[in-house]
Amino acid sequence: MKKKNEENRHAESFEESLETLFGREAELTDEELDEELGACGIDSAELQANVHKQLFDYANHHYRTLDRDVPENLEKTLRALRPPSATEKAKAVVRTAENLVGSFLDTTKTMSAELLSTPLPTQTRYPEFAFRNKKELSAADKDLLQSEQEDVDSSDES
Amino acid sequence: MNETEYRRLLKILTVRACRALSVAASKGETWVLAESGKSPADYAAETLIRWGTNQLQFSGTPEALVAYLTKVMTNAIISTLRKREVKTSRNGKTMLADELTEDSSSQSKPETLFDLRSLMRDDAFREALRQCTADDDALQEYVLAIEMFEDTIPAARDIASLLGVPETEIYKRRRKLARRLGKHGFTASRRRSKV
Repeated sequence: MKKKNEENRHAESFEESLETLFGREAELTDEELDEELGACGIDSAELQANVHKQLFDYANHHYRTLDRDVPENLEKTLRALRPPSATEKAKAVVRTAENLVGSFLDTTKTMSAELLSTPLPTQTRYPEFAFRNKKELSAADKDLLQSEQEDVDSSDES
Repeated sequence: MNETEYRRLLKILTVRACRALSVAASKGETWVLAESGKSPADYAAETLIRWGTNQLQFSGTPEALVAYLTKVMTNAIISTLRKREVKTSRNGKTMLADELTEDSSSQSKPETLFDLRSLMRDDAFREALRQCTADDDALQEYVLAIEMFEDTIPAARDIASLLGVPETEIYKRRRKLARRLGKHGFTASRRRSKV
């Protein structure tokens, strides 16, 4: 009893130390938990598969092979930690791809709508603006300017 | 608890085990990670087996269950830390759940590990903290602030008030320090185990 009390006291003190230094684990988001596990060299999916295997082996050895019922909590834990099957994995990949494509299309639509709704600067509506930095005009440019000039002249005459 | 909550519980338990073991390893208990024969995942699995097979009596909310199992696992880790003969084990492999049994033989007393004040005065642990925070002034400042509370265990708001930063900044620094010490502890352990 004395030993147990001492262990409990140590556990409380140790928990207090860990909490003061690093905060409570339960307050971390799933992403933060994954990140911290990653820093310790642990992949979340592998962790789940590894622990599931340990629990599965334990359930087989201590219950199923002896024809005994697996306790409800162990059964629930096993179900929750069961790694996804190949079909489930494939479906997840397809879902992720669909989401990616969907979000890409949404972004494209939003950006196109934004671009089309933005009025062009007034100057860009006039042809001379397009030639403002040209030092030497090509024959095609000259022809184009000529035809523009003729348009302007003819409208003046009428 | 639903399936998502179970998966989250496993992560929380494993992160706690990582933190506890990396602190122990950083403090100089070099055998803890490489040679104790149990990985953080083993501790989490052991706890889930004890819970799953009704070896632990608990009746409360799922939130309280997480805290309860975390405490149970911390107890198990402390129990391992106190066992002297673990130091003589040179296995280093993940153990089968069947082999996860209690042992009540002679024990060492790594007392300085459990108390924050003693821990912060431990040379090896301070060196580990120094290495983890060497390139980060904010983290160095955070560690220094904890050291300044000589007689009390400071809450996040106490540290925030001392440093003149928002409380959320303290939570951020805590998470960063945990990641860095975890990385440091496990990397150092792997390095030692190769020697």
